[in-house]
Amino acid sequence: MALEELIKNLCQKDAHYSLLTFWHLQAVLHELGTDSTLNVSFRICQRMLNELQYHLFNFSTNQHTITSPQSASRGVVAPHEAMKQFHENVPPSLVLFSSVMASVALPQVNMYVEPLVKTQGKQVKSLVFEVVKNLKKDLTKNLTLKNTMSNALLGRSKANKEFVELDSSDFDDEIPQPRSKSLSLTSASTINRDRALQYSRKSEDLEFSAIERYAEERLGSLNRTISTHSLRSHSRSNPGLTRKYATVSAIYPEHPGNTEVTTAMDNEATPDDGLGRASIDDLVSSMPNLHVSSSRLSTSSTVDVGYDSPTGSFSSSARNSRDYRFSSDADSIYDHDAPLDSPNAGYNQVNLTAPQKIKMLKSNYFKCETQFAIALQSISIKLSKVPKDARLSALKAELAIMNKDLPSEVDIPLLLPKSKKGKMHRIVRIPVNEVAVLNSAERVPYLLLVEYLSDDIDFSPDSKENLRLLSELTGVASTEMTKKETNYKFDLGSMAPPVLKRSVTPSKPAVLGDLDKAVPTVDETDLGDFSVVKLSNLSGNEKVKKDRFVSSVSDVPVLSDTRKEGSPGSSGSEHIRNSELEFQSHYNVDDLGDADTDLATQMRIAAVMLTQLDSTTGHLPPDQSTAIKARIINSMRSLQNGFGIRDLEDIHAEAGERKLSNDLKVAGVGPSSQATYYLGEDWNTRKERIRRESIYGHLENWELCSIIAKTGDDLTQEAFASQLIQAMSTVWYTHNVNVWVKRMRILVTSSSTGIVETITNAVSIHSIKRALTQYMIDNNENQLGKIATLSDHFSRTFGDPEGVKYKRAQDNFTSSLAAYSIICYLLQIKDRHNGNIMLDSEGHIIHIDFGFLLSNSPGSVGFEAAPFKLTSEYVDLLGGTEGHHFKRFKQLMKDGFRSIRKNAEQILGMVELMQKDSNLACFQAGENTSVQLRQRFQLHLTDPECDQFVENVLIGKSINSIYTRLYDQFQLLTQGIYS
Amino acid sequence: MGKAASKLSNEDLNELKKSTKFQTKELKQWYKGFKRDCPSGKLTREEFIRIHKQFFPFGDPTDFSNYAFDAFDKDKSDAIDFKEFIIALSIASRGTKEEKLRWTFNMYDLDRDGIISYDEMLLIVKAIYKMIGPMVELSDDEASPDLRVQKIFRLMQKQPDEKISLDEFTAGSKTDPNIVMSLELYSGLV
Repeated sequence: MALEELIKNLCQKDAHYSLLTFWHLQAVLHELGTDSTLNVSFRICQRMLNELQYHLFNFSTNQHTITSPQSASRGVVAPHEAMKQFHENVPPSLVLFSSVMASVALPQVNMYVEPLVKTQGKQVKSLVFEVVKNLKKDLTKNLTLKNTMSNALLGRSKANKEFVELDSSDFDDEIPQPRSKSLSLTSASTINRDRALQYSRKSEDLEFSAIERYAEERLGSLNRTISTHSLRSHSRSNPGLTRKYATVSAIYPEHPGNTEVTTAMDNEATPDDGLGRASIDDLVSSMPNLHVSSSRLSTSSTVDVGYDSPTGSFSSSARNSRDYRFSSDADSIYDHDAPLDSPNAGYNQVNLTAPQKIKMLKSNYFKCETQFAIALQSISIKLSKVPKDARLSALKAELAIMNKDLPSEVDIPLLLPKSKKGKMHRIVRIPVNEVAVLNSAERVPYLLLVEYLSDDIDFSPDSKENLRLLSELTGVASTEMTKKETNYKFDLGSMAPPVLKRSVTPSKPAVLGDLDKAVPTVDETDLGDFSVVKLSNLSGNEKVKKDRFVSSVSDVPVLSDTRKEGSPGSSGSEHIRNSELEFQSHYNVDDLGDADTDLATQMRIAAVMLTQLDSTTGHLPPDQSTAIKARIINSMRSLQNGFGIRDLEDIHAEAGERKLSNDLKVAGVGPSSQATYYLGEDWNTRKERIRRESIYGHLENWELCSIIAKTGDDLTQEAFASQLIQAMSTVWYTHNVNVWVKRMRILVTSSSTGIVETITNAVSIHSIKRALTQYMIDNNENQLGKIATLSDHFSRTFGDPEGVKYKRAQDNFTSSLAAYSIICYLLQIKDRHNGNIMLDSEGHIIHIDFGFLLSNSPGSVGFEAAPFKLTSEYVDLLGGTEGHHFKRFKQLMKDGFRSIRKNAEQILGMVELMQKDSNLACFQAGENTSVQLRQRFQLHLTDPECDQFVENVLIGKSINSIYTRLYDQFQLLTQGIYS
Repeated sequence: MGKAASKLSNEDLNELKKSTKFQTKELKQWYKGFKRDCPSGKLTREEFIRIHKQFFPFGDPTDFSNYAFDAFDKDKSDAIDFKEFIIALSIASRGTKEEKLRWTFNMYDLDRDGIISYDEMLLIVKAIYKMIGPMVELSDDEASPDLRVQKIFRLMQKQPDEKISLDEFTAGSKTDPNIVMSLELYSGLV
């Protein structure tokens, strides 16, 4: 409880901290959610997350309670007040009494005990959940959403189900979280259970067959849940209205904060245009009723958007309906949505006070931030659906689209260098040409560079920039309610559209694929229909974009051509051919102005088609589909070269080289295929080059950062490992042990996604060897085709072995090797093949990828039985076992091990804390994990004995270990990782 | 009391509504909370001390908790039941300054003779000093229990060999802003 308070306080102070907490909690919650037990930690996490969410995203509920008397009559519970209550906890009340009694004798007692009493008193135990359930209902929405979606995306339907049950039993009127996306939509809008049912019925009415099946499937379990929980709280709602209401509220959450839902909506809405439109009309007409009938809806929609929906907003519905006519459903939802904000905006603006402005700025920042994270992860998911050859192109396309929404109020906490107090960085551009897809079996991590302006954002309510932003946010800037403004707002609302579109394709197959096969997925219809569905789906999205273009730019006729061509597509292959032609001509015709965006769109279409092809190969003769695929990939490739054509002209000399390295990246075998030493360029040169290319490059605070976005892995473990390593390095630092450790920065954004800092100027040993070997063969230096050694690399990079440069590199190698050896031994970091070990430009060795540590190892066989990796190559580099550097290495190992032993409790504490009830793979051994770790510390040994132990056991066993060699051999043979 | 296990009887409820400042709903909720934390319906002296130890981990709150326990335990049954608990809580959280001071006075008046002697005050202050341990920094003129008691007596305008009556205690305490603030610290919280 006290910890909770502490975290909350910190969150209030630092925006980044709250974001981190938010993401971490989400991840933890996800993990806990898979526990089928209804445990306390789950609840605590949930409660905290809710509260945090409230702080992060909810702007207007709070504001509303302050500024508007209506709120009271609406029954909006101000969550703040509710949380501040002293609950029925006996111990703190007793102490409260005692301390009051002690007041006369010594008033200072209370100074000490008061905060304790208050925080303890706040503790909400299960019995009092009811008190706050309403507020929770509102707040859980976001969470519900995110979790549902991420679950769905990962196809972890089972986990999700458990989560559902947990959720719904926690809160009486929390709706069960359905597995299927159609219902997740419903749940997302926090409609209560009976409405959820109504909604599924509604779907049936509309004959969205897919949904219908889903709904029916789920209905059973829905009913079950309902029966176990009371419906009392919402039974008052007018049954006649509920149906419409359900539909409307399903649309509400389509605000930027909630983009995932829209995905689902998109998919559902598009199959039948006519019906969809009907439903929208229905919706429009029901809106006034809606407002009258329930205030709850408006509150719930508030949470994410930051705008409440007062009466005025509904008046805009008439105008909205016009918009619906000429655009598809998905489209109209947005249009419908955005104006909802606008009248409010004007309304809000009147009452804005400084703290409210700050709050607004903050919530905007958080929104952008989280959406950015979601965008990154959905790209990754999307990429995994695309054939390998086309991934890079697809990635570029996605990022190009993302770029359109940059600069935005986005920062990457933790990863970018520490910002000044109260300031944030602002990401301005993602250089599309610098991205790379990293290879991995299933998941698609990718590397991207991020240009940012350091310390460019703050929350001061009076700065010019923020005032502008505020006025945009509140919609003061343009009072006339034009469509343009609508779009603009929507656009600004952040990167919602790209996010949306990005999730469309991946989410659907993922969900469908993993759920029941009985569900009529589009994949099972024949190709003709299929492409219609898929492409109309796509075109719906494109339309959104197109509209934005129309209003913001001028006209993009070619784009719409493609779309028309696509939607009615008579037969799959023919249509693909058409579009393919389209690409080509497009590429030629386009002038530079819109090139990036248009190309991006084209690429996207191509990528989608490829995905379709992949999933429908059964319906086409294999050779035909392969041919088509090849053609698409080819055209994508040629398109890809069209990116940033202006830049290419300027730096023609480098272009070839870059392509080469890009190709290498795509074709690489190892898990880490970043630009190699011999092919790639130095980080600083690269930075300078990008700075020259960037339109923001002239700004003083321009900076560049390289990151890897990962999806599918649980980065919590990685983050934990790097924290352990960091703790150890701090120990060494304070004990003046001269070893070197790289501090990896890892940002966890959810249970399955995250962003990892790229180690600039460092390459994996695998890549070094690979490139160097090739280089030597090419230069006839290596007739035998032997694999290059590290010594080869060192002498090549650092010159004469007797020279200063070489010596320094050797020193660096020694100090880093000593540190990582201890780390690897203590933490039992496994999977130490050369793809996971890097060398930087100063000779430091850096270990990455902590997928296996403490108690788990690859394949669970004790392949790497040596205490740590110390190959003969390393020893050679240290000048042999008798060399000066090897002696220094031994001494550093001893010093390092001794000092870490003295602080063993700190490390052990961290592990013990984390291993409790943890699902992380590294805690496979459960409670034994820390016990084993303790044994490795050899705490029973005296210092001299310990030195002996290091020398004889650790180094002795490791040196040139047969196991190490075997593992490298194994990796070379199976994975092609150079040993 | 032992039989009325799960629910507060109407009788008790009505009685408590009169004797405390809580509403029926609050009383019920607190009763639930009380039953959750002490399922037996009675809070023993040991438990009471244990709870205080959790809040004052750096000192020894035993003595003070014993005194406080006696102040709670009006019927000298050596256990605090819900009625005693809620009445005390009502005073501490919603009572007036005078009510709080009267309770405090009764607690400090260890021999229950209606006046507080220097020795009684010293025992109480010593117990508090023991309880807080090193957690609170004190000014020089109250660095030891003796000094603090002398200060209190000065506040009450009494010589160390004199005794303090309830009225003097109340009036004196009210003149010290720190004491007043401390007394009112939790007002409206519960």
